[in-house]
Amino acid sequence: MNYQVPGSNSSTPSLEGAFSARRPELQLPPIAQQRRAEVMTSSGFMKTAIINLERAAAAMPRPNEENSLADYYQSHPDFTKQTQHVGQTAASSAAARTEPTSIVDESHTWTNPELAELQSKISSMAQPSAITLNNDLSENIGVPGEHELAPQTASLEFEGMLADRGHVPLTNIQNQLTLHDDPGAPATPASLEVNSSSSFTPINPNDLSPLKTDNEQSGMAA
Amino acid sequence: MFFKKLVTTNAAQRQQDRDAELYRALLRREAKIGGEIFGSTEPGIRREFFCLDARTWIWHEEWTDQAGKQQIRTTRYDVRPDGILKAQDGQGYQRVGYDEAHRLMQATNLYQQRVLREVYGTEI
Repeated sequence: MNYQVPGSNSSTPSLEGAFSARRPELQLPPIAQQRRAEVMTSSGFMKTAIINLERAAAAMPRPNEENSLADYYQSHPDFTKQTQHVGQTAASSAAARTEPTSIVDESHTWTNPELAELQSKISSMAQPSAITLNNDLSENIGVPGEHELAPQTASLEFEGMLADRGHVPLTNIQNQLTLHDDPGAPATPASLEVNSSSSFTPINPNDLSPLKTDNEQSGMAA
Repeated sequence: MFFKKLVTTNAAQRQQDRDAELYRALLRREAKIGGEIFGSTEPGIRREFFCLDARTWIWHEEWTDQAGKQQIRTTRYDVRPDGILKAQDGQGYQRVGYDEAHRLMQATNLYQQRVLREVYGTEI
């Protein structure tokens, strides 16, 4: 492959100033006009490539993102407790922190009839559909078979959340969630273990196989 | 009839030769300007950088190593819609990283400005 400009060392007269700004543009020979257009067009292709590179870089997950969050949780021990009310605004969370409230009347002692009534009310409520648990999770929380599974639901919703954040969709996420010791605490990234068989693997550019282009096969055009 | 056709063919051939020679001369001039974009080179080093076509850029460098042997390195950048590929000395292609792509873009922008002004008399 030799891309040296043909005749670079020859004694061909230099073109310096051949088409200087003093000369009318119309005097450019057609081949020079064609070449000038080629040079001008090249910047458009370059810009397109760079823009798409930037988009691809923005969409790529940062490799240390989970570690960074884990580090943050570790350095802020109160963070987990303070953010139990998922979905609340920062202001209401702050209020909840300063004035803790509870919906449970701990002084009340439940009688059997009350419990039975409560249970019947719960059973008459709509069956869970949007949020379902898989078998493993059901067994872990001691309610085997209580919730009928829609096996794809949880993973698809999770993928949707990730897609909204610009992440590559995960596959085979099911059964990869490990329960936290404290059921009330929100799951932290450290408690999410992704199967190595998932597609959540950044592409290594060095793994690209060699390509051949028409230009390379037919040699240099010039 | 035959004579007229012969004359026409010869004239067309001569025009093609002139166009080809002019095109090569333009490329040589552009490559020299392109080689100056990255600063001055040490004595004994010859550098050229030019736009081969609208989607291909060539970096060509020649120097003499300590053993007195002539060395040549040619890097070819293929600009594609989804990124830029690089091949050195005819080896396989590899994808250009973000930083290198940005530097390449800066170089091509400078190249375009200087070449259009100094060779084609066009200000952009």
